Amino acid sequence: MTLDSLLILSAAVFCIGLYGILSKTNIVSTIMSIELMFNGIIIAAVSFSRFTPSALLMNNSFDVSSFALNTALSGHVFGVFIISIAAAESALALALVFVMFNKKSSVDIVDFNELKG
Amino acid sequence: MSGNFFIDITFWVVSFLIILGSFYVVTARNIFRGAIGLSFVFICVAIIFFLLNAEFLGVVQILVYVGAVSVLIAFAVMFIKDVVDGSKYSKYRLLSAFLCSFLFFVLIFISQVTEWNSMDSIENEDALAGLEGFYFEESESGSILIKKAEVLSDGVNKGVFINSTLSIGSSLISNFLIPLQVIGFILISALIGSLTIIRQRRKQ
Repeated sequence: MTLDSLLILSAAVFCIGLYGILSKTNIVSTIMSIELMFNGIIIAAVSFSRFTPSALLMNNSFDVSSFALNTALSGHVFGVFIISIAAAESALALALVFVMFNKKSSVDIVDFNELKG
Repeated sequence: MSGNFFIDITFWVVSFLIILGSFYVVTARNIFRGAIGLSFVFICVAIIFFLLNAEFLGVVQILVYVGAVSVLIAFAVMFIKDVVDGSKYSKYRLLSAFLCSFLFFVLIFISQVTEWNSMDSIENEDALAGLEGFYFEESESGSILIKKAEVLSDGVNKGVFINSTLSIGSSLISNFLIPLQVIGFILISALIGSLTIIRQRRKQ
């Protein structure tokens, strides 16, 4: 378990999710692929927080005990933020799916091309 | 880096399962099976977080993703008429597969070429302990000292073992205070917005 292997895993999950978004026409599949991409990004953030020290800790004369606590785990905090955003986003997406189904009785995104010029 | 054999074995098995499950999510024609596979991927990612000493984030992942987002997606699946064959491909399938594999190799190239900050370049013992050990103890003046795991004896260690939850909590109320408030605004606006969208459509 090194930083390189974790970054490869993160990139793989991200790209698989991107492929799912681009290649599927059902909107629920698209939402699921977006969640996959979010998970890949969180893996990258946490593994950076685990394996690479922040610039403040690289300064060897710095007083570690007073400040390192707030900077060492920034990646975890970013992960918490991303999870919150993902929860809000999936709730909104569910409301959109509801409205789309009420309007055209379909959740296929190729049926919703009114804005196409 | 850790040198622990079982952690490495678990990591390889779980990451293989993650990639397999992700492929199943984006290729399954039955959309409900895809949603079940997505829940499986979420649980495997939580195991990766536990392996990375991110206990709080792993628990949050299980609570929010496996508990809430999966249920929302399973609720959204109910709007699909043809569940068994509902997940169709668009006409840009091959182009997007080519683009995504190209992006994957670009990301791998960048991550291998870049010189990331390594733990070997730190000489400060306290900083090294804060990243490797995750043991904290309180000093006489009340500030919190980070100690390496091997340095602490059992007598010192008693009762002052604190995991990453303390660090995340103190970050959220000091360095990340304004982002925390913004997240609160985003959540409340998403809640009100989704309720408003559904309500207007029902009146007509």
